[in-house]
Amino acid sequence: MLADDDDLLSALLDYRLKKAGYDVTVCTDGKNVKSYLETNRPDVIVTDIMMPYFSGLEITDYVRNELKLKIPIIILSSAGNEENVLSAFKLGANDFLSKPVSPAELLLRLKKELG
Amino acid sequence: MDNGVFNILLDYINIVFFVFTVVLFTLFSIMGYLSTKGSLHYKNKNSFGDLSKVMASPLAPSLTIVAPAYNEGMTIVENIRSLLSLKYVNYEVMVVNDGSKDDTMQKMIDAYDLVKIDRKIDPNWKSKPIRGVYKSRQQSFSKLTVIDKENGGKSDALNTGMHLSENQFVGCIDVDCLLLPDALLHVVKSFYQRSEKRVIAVGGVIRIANSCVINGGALEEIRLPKNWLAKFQLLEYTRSFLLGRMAFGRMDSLLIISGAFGFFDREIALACGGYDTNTVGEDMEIVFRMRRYMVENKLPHTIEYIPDPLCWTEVPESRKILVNQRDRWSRGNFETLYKHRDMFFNPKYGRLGMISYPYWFFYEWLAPLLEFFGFFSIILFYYLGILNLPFFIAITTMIYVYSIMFSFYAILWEVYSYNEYKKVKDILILMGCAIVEPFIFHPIVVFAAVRGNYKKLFKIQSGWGTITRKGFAKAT
Amino acid sequence: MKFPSLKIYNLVSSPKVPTDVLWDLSILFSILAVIYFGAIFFFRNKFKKDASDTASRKKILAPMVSEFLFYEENIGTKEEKNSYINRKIEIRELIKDKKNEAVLSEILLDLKTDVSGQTRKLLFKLYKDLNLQEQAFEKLKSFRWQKISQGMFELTQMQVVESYSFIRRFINDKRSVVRKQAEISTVTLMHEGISYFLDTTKYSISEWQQLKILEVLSNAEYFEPPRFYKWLTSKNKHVVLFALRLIKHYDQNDAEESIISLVRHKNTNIKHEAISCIKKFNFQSSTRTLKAVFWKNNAHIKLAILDTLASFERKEDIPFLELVDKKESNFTVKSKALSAINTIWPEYVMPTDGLDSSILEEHQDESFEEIVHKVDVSNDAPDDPEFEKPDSEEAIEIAVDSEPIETNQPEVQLETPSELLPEYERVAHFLDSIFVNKNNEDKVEAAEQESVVAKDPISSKSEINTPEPVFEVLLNEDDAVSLTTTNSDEIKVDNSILEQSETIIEDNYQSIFEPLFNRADDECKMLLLDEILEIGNNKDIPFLTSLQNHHNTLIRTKAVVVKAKLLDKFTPIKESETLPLEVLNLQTTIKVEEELVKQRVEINQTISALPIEDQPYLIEKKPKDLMPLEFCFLLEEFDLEPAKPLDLFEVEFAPEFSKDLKNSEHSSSSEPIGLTAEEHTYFQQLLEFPLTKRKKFNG
Repeated sequence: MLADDDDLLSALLDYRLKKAGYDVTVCTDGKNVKSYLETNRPDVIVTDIMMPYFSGLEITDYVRNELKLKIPIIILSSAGNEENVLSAFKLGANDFLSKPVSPAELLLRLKKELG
Repeated sequence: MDNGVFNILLDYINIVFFVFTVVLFTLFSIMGYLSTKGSLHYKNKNSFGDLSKVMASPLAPSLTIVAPAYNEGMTIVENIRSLLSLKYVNYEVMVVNDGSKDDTMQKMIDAYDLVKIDRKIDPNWKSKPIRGVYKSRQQSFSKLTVIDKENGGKSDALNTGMHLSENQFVGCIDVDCLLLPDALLHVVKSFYQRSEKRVIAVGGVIRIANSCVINGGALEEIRLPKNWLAKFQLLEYTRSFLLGRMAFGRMDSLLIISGAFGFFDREIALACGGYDTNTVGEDMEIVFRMRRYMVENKLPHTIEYIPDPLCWTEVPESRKILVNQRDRWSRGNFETLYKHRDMFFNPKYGRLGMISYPYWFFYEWLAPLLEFFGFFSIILFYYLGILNLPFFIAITTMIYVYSIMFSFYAILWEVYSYNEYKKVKDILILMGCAIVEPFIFHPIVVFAAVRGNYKKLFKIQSGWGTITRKGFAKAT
Repeated sequence: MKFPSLKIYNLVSSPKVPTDVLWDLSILFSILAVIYFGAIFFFRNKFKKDASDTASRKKILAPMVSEFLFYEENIGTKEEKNSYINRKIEIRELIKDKKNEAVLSEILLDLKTDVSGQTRKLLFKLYKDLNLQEQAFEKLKSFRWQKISQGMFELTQMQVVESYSFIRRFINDKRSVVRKQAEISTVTLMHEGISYFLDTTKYSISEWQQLKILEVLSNAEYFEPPRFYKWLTSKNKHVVLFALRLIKHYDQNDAEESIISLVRHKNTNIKHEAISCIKKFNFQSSTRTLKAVFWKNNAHIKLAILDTLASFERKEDIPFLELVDKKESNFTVKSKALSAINTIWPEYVMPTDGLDSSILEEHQDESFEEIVHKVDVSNDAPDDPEFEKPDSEEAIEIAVDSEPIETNQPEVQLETPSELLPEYERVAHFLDSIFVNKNNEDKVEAAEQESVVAKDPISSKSEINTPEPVFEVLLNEDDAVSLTTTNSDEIKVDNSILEQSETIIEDNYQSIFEPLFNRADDECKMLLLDEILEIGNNKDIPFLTSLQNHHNTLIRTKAVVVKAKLLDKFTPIKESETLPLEVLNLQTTIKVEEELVKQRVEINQTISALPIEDQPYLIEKKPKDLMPLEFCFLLEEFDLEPAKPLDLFEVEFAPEFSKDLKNSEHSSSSEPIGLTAEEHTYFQQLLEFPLTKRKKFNG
């Protein structure tokens, strides 16, 4: 699953990931992510930090502490300051990519997370 | 014949009234024009480019946000958290606990793991005694400094913060304001983008946060206030910030920066003595004084104004609090104008003396009083049967229509520049407010202004006496 | 009821308010209100429509962009290839529509900030493939500044290197927005852009702009920064400042001399930046310059200098820092000086708070002796830590200088009104800044200061209260002198003993009366001469000698008489020029033998070539502003306001200008610039400036 409030980037990544053979669902805000997670269990979550309603960090917290899931989470963020990175990992994110993001790199990291 | 002379006199009163109105209208129209030009320029200039990249630059200046807190135990922890999460690297949040009587201090100590640090304080500093300076033990709150001092009022707290800060710029804000994450970046940009003139202060728009959805110190959804009083104030703020201040900013003759969101060049602010602790209009007074200081020392300077909505605050929703607030404003206004009365039409101060000061004098101070007395004299005239009814009706209609037009223009600019309120209904409500405002909201404001002035004038003997004496004491 | 009044309207002509006009205006305003009402909804709808239009176009174009970006020629199947080509044709058709074109470049710009690596490169390629730069180039030709800068922004973002030569022409554009964008674009597009920019720009570079350019530079890949010291000599002071910052940022420590000399720059920001460079690169050779300029600067710079001295950790600097602690009135600077001392030599300063004053006095006496002792030691024992430092020679010089003063001065100063001394010191400072040597003087002053402090209770009863503001005026004057006389080579840092000895002479040569004298009228001069006789010392002798050429015969003769008496009083040596020798003779009581002999020879040699060019200048400088004695002191009455900006931002007066300024000042009976007396009093009473000069001085 891919969550990002930037339509263009999510469309681009969506295209690239689909081309690489992944099954992608795009959510554009925190609310959507939560409602999607209620019924679905994606193999991996790629999420932006700054999103409307719930931030990527909150999503991570939600997945780890409320749903108690071990789904790999990759955080994408333009606010790549230390504080964010630290709290992301503290909350249990698996990987952190700061924007601008290289699609190729994202693919590699995804491959790693999915084994 | 006696009657005739009297009538001529009345006619002259009419003419004075008419001229006053026309001048006011002209002024407002010019303001409208200038603000239009100003905001267009601003919009074009800032339509591209990314601010956030600059914040980590080694050249980025250091900033201190001084937030005085008095009996804010309920909200202080949350408010500080929001201040600590602004998008900027090199800044410090300095909360000055102004001798709160509640548990403000203890709450801060508990929440942020504060410890007293050893800090030398200039023994000559004239503020109320400082009990201690606190820092957090946790690395993640390293930006926070808390100063605990004896109660001395808002100005005194701000002065202390300004004095203890070691950074180039200080921001004086109300602790209950909500700053958008980008706020400091805009401020720094405004301070830094001039090279010929020294930017001594930066001010910004105050937006009304009543009924907006605020979550975890962030503004999530902008809504029109539900309370009617707040709606009127929203309209009023839109007019004064979007049109009034923008126009004065464009003319480089701003004489006020809102106390809720004002940033100063620390060096200048301290050089001219910081905030005045003897006035209730300290936020206006300091700008007057800083500008005078610069003019008198013949230093090229300017005050920048940021029209972007960066600071959100709640306005009073009860009539009583509103009247008290406006009462205080008008007293502060009066005090400041009186204190700097030699600027009045003084060409030495350029536009400040020739345009800004008279504007404040006539429009902000005199107009409510005139309205108040005009209203009663009209009733009186009517009963005496000497009211020139056609003239009265005509001019009242004109003023009324003009005020509606001006409000509409302000709403138009709001829509054109920021378009914060997405619903058509909201805009229509605002327009409705503009139409009924002269009958409902305006009288309250006028009443508050008259009350403030009355208080001030009534206490003139004692009030001013002490201030003058203090002045002498300081001079020697 | 209204009829009577209407009748009278007809009878007596009074100006009538045209009620019709009012109604007309009302109608006009209501029409305007309706127009605005319409406009509000028009704009709302327009924005909405534009937004949805753009969104729908984006929806069509965005997938195409994705497809182009991730199309791989070699791997793709035939089908993909076909659809790729079709798409390309399609998109070319689409962007014939101007709006589509604009939306497409917007998409690309947006994506550019979000992606990196290979994809980004493909993005740039796509931009060029689709000829989108054409429309950006079009924008450059526009006459509206926002269009031009928009175009430049786009080209820069898309790294269209070909546009470099077009864009750089805008660097000196008079529209600031265009100029700023051009600067950034130039620097971004080519690595040599920064050099070109610094070479050519004529305008000022705002702080914000510097920030952004530095950001661009630090993001540039494989960027080899040029050596920025080349621009330290630029005529544009903003370029100098920026170059300093860049030097600091890129750790280029190859411009030691230039940076040190920039400490003397007129611009406060440049000074500050130069000092922080010095600190960063640990240019220890700068200490003398730093100390030399110290007193002239505002608190901000002073703090920076003290910080830098502290970071050098040289024990030789301690006396200077102590002097700062004693003489400085600004609390922050004072405490900084103390903390600097403690950094250099932990536990050197012990807490003195709360001790009673008599004990404090003793303590100071002790510290005075301590210093003397230390200096002595440094001469005797070469194994002292101080001695191992490279400039131990300097230390000896200091000893030479400080000791004579200390032996012969105290008894003189017993009679000297202590208030006059600081004046002398300040004057000496400024005159001295003409010549570069500083350490000696500081030591002299340290010693002097100590003795004064020690004797303070005795001398403080003297009745003359020398006006502090006079210093400020003098300060200006001396500034002017130093500016005029030493424009070109003031910067030269020369360590030769020869120059140092010259400075020693200069030091002693300066009479405390001279500045006051120059400002006084003839009658007052006579009075002053009397005073010299009573309280003067041998330092005044050269000054008296110079007076022998004074145009007024009375003064001339009096000067001769006074000089003769003074000589009798103090020393058997008659020639004033032998003064340094005399000083050296006096110090024979102290053992500093071997090294000194050499130096004495040197000094003797230089005596004949004693430069006194600036002396006549000082004396005959302003015949117009001479005034009677009471006026010299009257200046005290005014808390000179203009002195404050000088402290604060270093107002840069050209020498001529500052002279003018003073003239006007004096002609209006020595009032502060721009303020009348009433205004001034008003200021004090109503504005409550707490930082009056007086307060500053008294602490």
